[in-house]
Amino acid sequence: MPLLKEKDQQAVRERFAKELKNPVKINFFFSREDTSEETRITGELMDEIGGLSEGKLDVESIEGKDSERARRLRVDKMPALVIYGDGDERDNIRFFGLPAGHEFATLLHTLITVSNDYHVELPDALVEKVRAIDKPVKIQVFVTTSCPHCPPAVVVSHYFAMLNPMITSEMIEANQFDDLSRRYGVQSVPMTVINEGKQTFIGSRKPEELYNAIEKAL
Amino acid sequence: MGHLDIGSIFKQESDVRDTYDCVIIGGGPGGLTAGIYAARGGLATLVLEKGVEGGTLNFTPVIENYPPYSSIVGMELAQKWSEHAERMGVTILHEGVVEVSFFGENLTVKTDQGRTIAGKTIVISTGSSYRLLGLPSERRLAGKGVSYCALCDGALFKNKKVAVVGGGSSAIDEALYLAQTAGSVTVIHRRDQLRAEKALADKAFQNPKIRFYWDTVVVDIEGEQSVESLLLENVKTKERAREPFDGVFIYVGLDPSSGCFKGVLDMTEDGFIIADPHTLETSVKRVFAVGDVRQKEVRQIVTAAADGAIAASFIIKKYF
Repeated sequence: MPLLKEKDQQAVRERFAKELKNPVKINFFFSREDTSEETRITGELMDEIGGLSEGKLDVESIEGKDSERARRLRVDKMPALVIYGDGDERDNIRFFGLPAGHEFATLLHTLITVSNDYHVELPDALVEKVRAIDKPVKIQVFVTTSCPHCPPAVVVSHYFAMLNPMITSEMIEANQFDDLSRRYGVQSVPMTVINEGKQTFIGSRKPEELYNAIEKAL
Repeated sequence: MGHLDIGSIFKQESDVRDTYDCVIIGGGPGGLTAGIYAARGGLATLVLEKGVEGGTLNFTPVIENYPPYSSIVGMELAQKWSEHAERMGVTILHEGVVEVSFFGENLTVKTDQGRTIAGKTIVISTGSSYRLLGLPSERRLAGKGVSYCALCDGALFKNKKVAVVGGGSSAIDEALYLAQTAGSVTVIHRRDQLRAEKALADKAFQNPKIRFYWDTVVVDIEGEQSVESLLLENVKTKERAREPFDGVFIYVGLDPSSGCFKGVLDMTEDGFIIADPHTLETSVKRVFAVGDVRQKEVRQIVTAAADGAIAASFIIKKYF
């Protein structure tokens, strides 16, 4: 049985037909030892949406953190999705855990943005500032899939990574990565952690505020 | 396994005009229903929603009192509602309103993206937001064990001991939701009985993970980095006790989201917008208020929807 309801499949198919432009790669990294339902569903869901894209989405499943590709794309935990444009092999737009519930919209939006030459919806002045960041930045946005506030926080963080390869953006499903959640004391989502805790904040903030937090963390 | 729940994937920003027949501020049940009726009446209709279409529905785990759904997930109902509105031709724009200017027939709203939009008529359906307990420690520990969204944060308290403060339907709703994953749920209520509807209360009474502290208020929330304990007081005996908790979810009522209409529209002392009960027109002609934000007796999804239908029907009849 497909994961998506018939009407959702149709909506996704239509949206992809209208909005996907260039081909997009989805690399799904998983571990054979991980038999969790979420990981299995993540893989199936990617195959399913790949099938709704008329070949625009190229989904590849890769086993193992020690695989050559995982090393090249800096995949340090799994399950992971790394998304990039055809031919660029960027490693800085990432989802850790199952992007279901409200995060499914984030995933679709990310795929469509990558497909449209990484064209982000941010003010020009801010785009310039984000592009000018010249030190490595890691943004981790902890979410749960039932959280209505969470998608904007992930979208903005992913936008920043699309603008600047120095910035790595990760959506992290807090339950599936509970060790990591515990390390940063995640008790409310969305929680954004910059550079391993140099700056943290809770809630979906304006893009300018994310930029200010990054500046403080550097 | 059933089908996967997915959020709203229909978010698209169509071309936005400068003027609409009807500008609706807030896309919850009241606003979307007003939109559906206005659009079906032939009015060019815009709904401004700063968060997710469906508003508070998205924060309600399960809804059992919106007929004829005996049980529906809040997010799903929210999606159906916004799909319905869009299918009828309502434009939904994801921007919040920061300022309004209502002079005579000149009604404009300014959005948080700096856009100014004029409406021949305006419907206010901004709803309400959760009320704070008002303790200094509550702000300090917000997001560190103090939460106002069980749906968002509940899963982070798996097998933990949590408290829910409040005795109304939303408090009991959340207690039942939390009981699915938390180790135990203690409902702390200042009265000796629940205000929640009976069907919900009965469910909670039967749930072995939920217990009740009656006549009890939270005097302080304690903890350094995160919530560690609550200082509780029995309002009758004035006895105080400290008890360890990992998290506390607060549902002590709702405040109207009417800040940007202060001084512009007539309101109650608590900030609820006063509207004519028959037409829902406010003290300013062509401006209407529907749903939780207006002064009324019963605040339910079904009454918000009814408000939306009444206001839009009256708008069509009187102004177009």
